[in-house]
Amino acid sequence: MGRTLIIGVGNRDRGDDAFGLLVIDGLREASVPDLDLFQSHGDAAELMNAWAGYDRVVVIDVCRSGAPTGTIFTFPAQERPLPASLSSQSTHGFGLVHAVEMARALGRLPKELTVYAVEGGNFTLGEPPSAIMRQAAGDLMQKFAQRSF
Amino acid sequence: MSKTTRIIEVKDLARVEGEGALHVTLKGDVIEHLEFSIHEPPRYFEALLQGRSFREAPDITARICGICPVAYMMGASQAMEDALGITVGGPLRALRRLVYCGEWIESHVLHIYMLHAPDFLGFEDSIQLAAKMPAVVEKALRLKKLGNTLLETVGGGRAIHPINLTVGGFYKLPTKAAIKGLAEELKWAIEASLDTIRLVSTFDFPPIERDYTFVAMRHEDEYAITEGRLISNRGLDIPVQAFHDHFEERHERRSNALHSVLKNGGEYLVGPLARYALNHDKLSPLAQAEAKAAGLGKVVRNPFQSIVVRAVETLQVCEDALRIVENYEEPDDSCITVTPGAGTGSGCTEAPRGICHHTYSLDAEGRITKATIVPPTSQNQGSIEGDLWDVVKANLKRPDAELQWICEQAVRNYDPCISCATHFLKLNIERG
Repeated sequence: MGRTLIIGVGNRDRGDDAFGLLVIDGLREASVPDLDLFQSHGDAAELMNAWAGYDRVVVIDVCRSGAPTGTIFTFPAQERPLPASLSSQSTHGFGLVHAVEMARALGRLPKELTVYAVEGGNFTLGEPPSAIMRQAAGDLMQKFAQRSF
Repeated sequence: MSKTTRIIEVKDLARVEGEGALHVTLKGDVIEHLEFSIHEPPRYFEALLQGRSFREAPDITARICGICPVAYMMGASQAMEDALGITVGGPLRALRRLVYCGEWIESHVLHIYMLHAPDFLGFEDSIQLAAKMPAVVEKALRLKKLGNTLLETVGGGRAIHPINLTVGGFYKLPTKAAIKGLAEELKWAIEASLDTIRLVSTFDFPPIERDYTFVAMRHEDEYAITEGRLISNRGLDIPVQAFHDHFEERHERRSNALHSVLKNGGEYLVGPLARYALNHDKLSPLAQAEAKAAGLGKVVRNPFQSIVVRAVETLQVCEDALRIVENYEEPDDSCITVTPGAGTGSGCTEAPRGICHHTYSLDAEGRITKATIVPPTSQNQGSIEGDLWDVVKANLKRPDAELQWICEQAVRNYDPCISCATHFLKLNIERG
């Protein structure tokens, strides 16, 4: 299998929505070898361009399901459609779910695409991510650094 | 006809930016109540700009919108330049138009193919479109990627919220090689834009025509995007500094966005139909010819045909961008030196959805004392509701589901950017 790409999706100015970006920040700081890293606002076309050519891709985004803050859900997107409820607050509603399903329709889905959706609690403009989310981001970064996806 | 009451309600409009809703109450054949409301929370950008340096305004206002950040950065920059008495010309001005062309391409292509075309083709969304017409969607994605690449090349490596635009020009100039490297893809994009016009011109358009007051910018030398005078088809012809003498914003209780109206004429329309009607003669010969071949007259009053006008405008900006790229010579300096000072200035540009107007006042240290931003969707709210009245009246006989579909489509004609429209509402708290 070729190189692995890890994509963190989020917005640093919207509280817990920064989660995916924090994980990528941590992996960059740790200089983990043989991992390609990408940070995205979640635009569907950008995501599809980013993962083009990769066999294995991990995407980290934030969700809201009512579960406790910091709860991590994983979805093997290559096996089945993502839940529609994952549709993010992306611009014009054209985000991660659209990217995955459009890529599936066009035959542009990586062989292995795992989505980590992490429950966020606070999305207030201008606020930092909560301590729970920062801790969860650190834990997930450590897991990926050990090449456990 | 019975007097049965029918209610068409869409609590959360899909395929638009931000949170808006639509409510129509019909009593038999009579529309009792109709409203397009915006319930996106207000974002108070104008208040948070107060006290900040004039240099911060472009980067702060860019955050108003992820789709049209260049419109905000450029409007803010030009307002500051107006206040401080400087003019950006020559190759720096050309670079500004180039990055704006990128924004138009990515915004128009997103709307045409991913958000609006599914309405005309009977698909729920662009995923169904991709499954049925994959070649069309592949072309759209490549076009949108080119728009993003233009933004990344000129805007400092970022397609969303670029960081390289500032008052007086740019922080860092793109290299000549990077700019010249865009030419081949732009040549492809011109051909792809022609295909886009030819595709969308075959759609069926509901036969609605409205007598709009069109308002757009006009420039003597080009299809106005980055600068010009403000004109209308009813005799308005003013510099951007006189905007607030002729327009005013009103608060409607149902909406978190202010409604902008002409002081002496009520609702008006900004965006593709207005630009096209007021600047048809400034389109390139190819764009004019393709518009004619697509069945468009020199003025288009059917809001559903805005998708064709967007396609013509996409061709126009691909041609403009290629010309700028081919002629590009690296300027000596990335930015004109700017000295802070007191003053008031205005800037206005044509965001993909229509004019986006900024006015700022500065103190002697260049700190912002007052900011007023009027985005396009707040200006189009009256026209959206006017269209909906006509659309509902013309489609009363349709079942509720079909009526709802065409009403949602009528809103999407505007590619409304609801998040943009809700950043400036003043909050009044009444305490008993």
